[in-house]
This record gives sequence, structure tokens and C-alpha cells, in this order.
Amino acid sequence: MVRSRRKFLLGCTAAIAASAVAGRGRAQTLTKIRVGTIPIVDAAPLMIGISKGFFRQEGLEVDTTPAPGGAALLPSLAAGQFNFAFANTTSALLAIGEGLEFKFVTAGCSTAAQGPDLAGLMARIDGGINSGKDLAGKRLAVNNRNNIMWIRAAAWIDRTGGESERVSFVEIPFPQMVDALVSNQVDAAMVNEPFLTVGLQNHGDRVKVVSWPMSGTAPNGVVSEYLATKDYIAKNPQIVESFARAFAHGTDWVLKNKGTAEWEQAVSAYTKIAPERLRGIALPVYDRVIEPQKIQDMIDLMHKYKILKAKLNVAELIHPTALKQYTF
Amino acid sequence: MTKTSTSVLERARAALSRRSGILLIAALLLLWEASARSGLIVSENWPPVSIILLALIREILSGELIEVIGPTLYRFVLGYVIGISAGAIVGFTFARVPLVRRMFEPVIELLRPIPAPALIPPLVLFLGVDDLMKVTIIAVTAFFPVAINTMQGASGVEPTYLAVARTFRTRATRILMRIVVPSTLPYVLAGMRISLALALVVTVVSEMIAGSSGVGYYLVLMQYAVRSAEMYAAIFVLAALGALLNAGFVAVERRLIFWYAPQA
Repeated sequence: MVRSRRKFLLGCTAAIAASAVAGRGRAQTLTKIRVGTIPIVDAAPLMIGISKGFFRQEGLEVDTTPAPGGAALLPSLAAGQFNFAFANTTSALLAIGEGLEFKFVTAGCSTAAQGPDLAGLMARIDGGINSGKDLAGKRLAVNNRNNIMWIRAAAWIDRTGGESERVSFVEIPFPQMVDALVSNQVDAAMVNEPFLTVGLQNHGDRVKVVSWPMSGTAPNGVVSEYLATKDYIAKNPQIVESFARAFAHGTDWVLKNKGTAEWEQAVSAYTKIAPERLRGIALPVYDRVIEPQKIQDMIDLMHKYKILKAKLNVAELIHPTALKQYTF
Repeated sequence: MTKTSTSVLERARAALSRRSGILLIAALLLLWEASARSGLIVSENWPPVSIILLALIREILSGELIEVIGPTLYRFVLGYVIGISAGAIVGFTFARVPLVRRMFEPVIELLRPIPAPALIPPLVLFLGVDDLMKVTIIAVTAFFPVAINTMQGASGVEPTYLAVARTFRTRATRILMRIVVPSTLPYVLAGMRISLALALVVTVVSEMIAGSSGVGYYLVLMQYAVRSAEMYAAIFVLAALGALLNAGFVAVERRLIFWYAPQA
């Protein structure tokens, strides 16, 4: 009995040594962590990292709480319900500006250099909307106010001759946006994938993509990151390091396998989107590290749109793990 | 000759009126199917009923729907039982102990009109996103109708009965069991029935806002996965579940208060 247990422990140690994390220690028992996420394509590095066992290799057992919509994620992170949470950069900075003590611990994703990217501004073909100028006094659907989609749409309106203050933004969940557009309830909508492609398939004769405000106003601009509270980072530096490393491993896998059949299966497994629907949709750019300047650009943009008042120092917001190049 | 044909006609009419409810449902589903198939309504969110039924069968056979409904039923039953028990005890205490009632009634009256889903965000902060928060919010929902009804029932006991019982020097426990409880029970049960529907709604809503299991979560997940047939399949199951729970409740109610015949 004792002997077999010792043998088991020896076996474990050997396995850990083999997976090249020896010296990290204490990995015989997995540390449980809880991550708040959204079951969307953007979360691929995390979800695939878990299913591929990259987090186990780092001694972490991850319990994910996927919250569709994601509204409850940051409050739950602040309340200590999660150890880590996924968030779009705008909402995260907004929360930090309001005094929540978060730091970015890993990169998430960015937009492409140019469209098509992960979200497009759609309008009716006969609606006469081709620029921000045409949207004056019109209704534009966004999934949430004050988030990344909203601020990029507003920036696009102002850049294309319009005034975002004169556009009325309406909150509509992504799955219902194209319906709202087709039935004239809104004049335009910031629709993300896969709903954009599905909308064009069903209503290609009535709606079109006017522009790609995400990459259009900020090529390669930030979209999302993962955060933890300063308190948690201070108390658990080793767990944060392991998390970032495992996450980077997931990113590495995603970058190497994006678009393959195995990738489709892996993404379909947690999003429940049928694999064939994933084919051909525009994907986000998965980042290995955070580029501080891109966060600074977002802070500036948020100051311009007056949703952020606090002066934030980018360097203080980024934990070193989000800047580290891990290799596998 | 004419007589038989009339009776046949009458019988057909009677049969029709007995089944009119089911026939209406069938007609509405057919209309749904036709509107989706004919291209009258083109939307990813409006699949034909036949596709939904296929998805329903597939999801039941694969065991996925059972897995989805399990956690929902568990939370619902737990929250409901806690809520109605607390409601009955509090309502009864209020009715019998006027001091307690005067003390707590303002608080209850202030809290009662707040829609339970509005309490979810602050509750997430204190109770998290797991079962604790959900069961609490379900229990709070189930609590009020039962508490208010029990209070009314228990304070509305026919004074003559009590007077007669006292004249005969009946023991207090006997008065309680033979007069107060039987005359309060119909009110308690009416409250419980209102709570039943409300609690089921709140269970699903709480799962839609936060968490990773249950029918509410599944509904949102399937919407975001562009699989509306599966989403409707879950809604159909919810409808059936609600109807079943209500029918079961009515059956139990009839047995418990067999002497109490409402206007119907």
C-alpha cells in the first residue's frame, strides 16, 4: 500500500520532469483555479489549452464558467468569484477607471489589419447608409454600450463624416441583430461572427456589410485580454505565471492549427457552433503578448469619448506575464 | 334518421370541444411550420417546427437535454421548497403574533414588489454565480406569495369556530390542528401555486445571466451557437415541465384540501 503510493508519487514526479516543468514543484496536486469566460471563438487559446491538457502540465486544474454575454464576468472577478476573467479591453479599462483593482495578465486577441474582420457594420441594401454621415438621427444596434464594439462604431462614424452623438445606439444581442435590421427596427448594426456570415447567407438580397469599423479605425487594434485582481496576483504570483504559460501554450497551438479540421472540432466542442459554420468566417488575431501602445491607444480613445475620466498608467496595468514571450 | 345524424353531429361537436385546446395548439404549430417553410418569415431564429422536433428527439436521445434539465430541476426544487417553507412559517407567525408582524411588515412590503431578477447583480457580488445565488433568488421568489397568502389565511380564521372551541375548552394544539390549519391551508396552497410558476421563471432567468449549466444557460449558449432549433427544443421542454408541475400540483392540492371546493 505504502509502496504503491510511493511508486505512484515517483511516477508523477517523473511525468512532471518529462513535461519540462520540473523545478516548478508542488505539481503533484493540481491547483484549482476558476476562470470566467465567454463561449466564443475569441476564447480558443484558453478552451483548447484546457482540452489539450496544457494547464494540467502547469499544475492547474481549470474550472471555467462560461457566461454568454459576459456582463457578470468583471463584477464576479472583483468579488473574488473568479481568479481570472476574460474581458474586452474597453470594458476592462472602464472597470479599472471606476476603481476596480485589475491588471492584465495575458494577451487575448486583436483585430485583423484590414477587413473582413470579426465584426462588420451592416445595413440594408436599400437603406442608403454608406458612411457615418448617413447615420445622423438613425438607429445603430450594438450588443452593449460602452464596450469595444460601441467605441469602434462611434470612432468609425466620426471618421466617415458623421457625428456619433447624433446617432442613437440601441442595445440588441448579437443573435437578434440581423432580424432587427431586416425588420426595420434599426438602420444599421455592429454584427460579429458567426452572425454576420449567417445573416448574409439568409438575407444577402437585403443586407450588406457597409464597413469594418474594428480594423477600419484601428488596424490590429486590441480587442480583449485576461485579467486578475492585483490582490490575487500579489498573493499567487506562481499561479499567475503558470496560468500565463499554459495560456501561451494554448495560443501557440491555435496559431499553428487555426483553420484546420482539428481546430474546427476543438472550437465547436465548447462554442457548440456547427463545425461547417466555422469554415470561412473571419477570425480574430490571437496575440502572444500585449503591446502596451495598443492599450494606450484605447485609453486615449476612451478619453476622447469621455467614458474614461481617470488618468491610467499603462505600465502599471500590465503584469509582466502578459509581456513575456513563452516558447514551447 | 334525422335523429341519429343529429346525435352523431352532437357527439362530434362534443369531441371537438373536448379537444379544442389541443387542436388549437396543433393549428398554431402548423401555422409556425408553414410560415417558416414558405419563406414568409426568414430568420435563423425561426426554424420550422419539424426541425425543432427533430432536434428535440436528437437531444433527448443523446442525453444532452436530460443533462441540461437536471441542474435546473435541482435548483428549482431546492429553492422552491426553502422559499415556500419559510413563507408559510413567516406568514403564520405574522398572523399569530401581532408584534412580530408590526415589526417586519414594512420590510416585507418594501421588498415584495422588487422583481427577483433585479436582485441578481448585487447577489452575484455576495453569493457568487453558483447554486447558492440561484437557489437564494428562487427561494426569495417563492417566499412572498406564500407568506402573504398564509398571513391572510391564518388571520382570517372564522371567529365563531374559535369561540365555539373555546367554549368547549378545546386544547390549543387541537384548535390549531383542527381549525386554524385546515382553514389556512387553502390559502397556503394558492400561494404555493403562484410561487411555482414564478420560481420556474426565475430559475431559468438566473441561469441565463450567470453560470454554466441548466436550461437557461443552454438557451443562451444555443442562441450564440446559431442553433435555434436546439434552443426551441429546450423551450418546448420548459413548457412541458411547467405544465407537468402545475398538473401535479393541482392533483396534490385536490387530495390535501378535498373538502375545499372552489367556485369551479
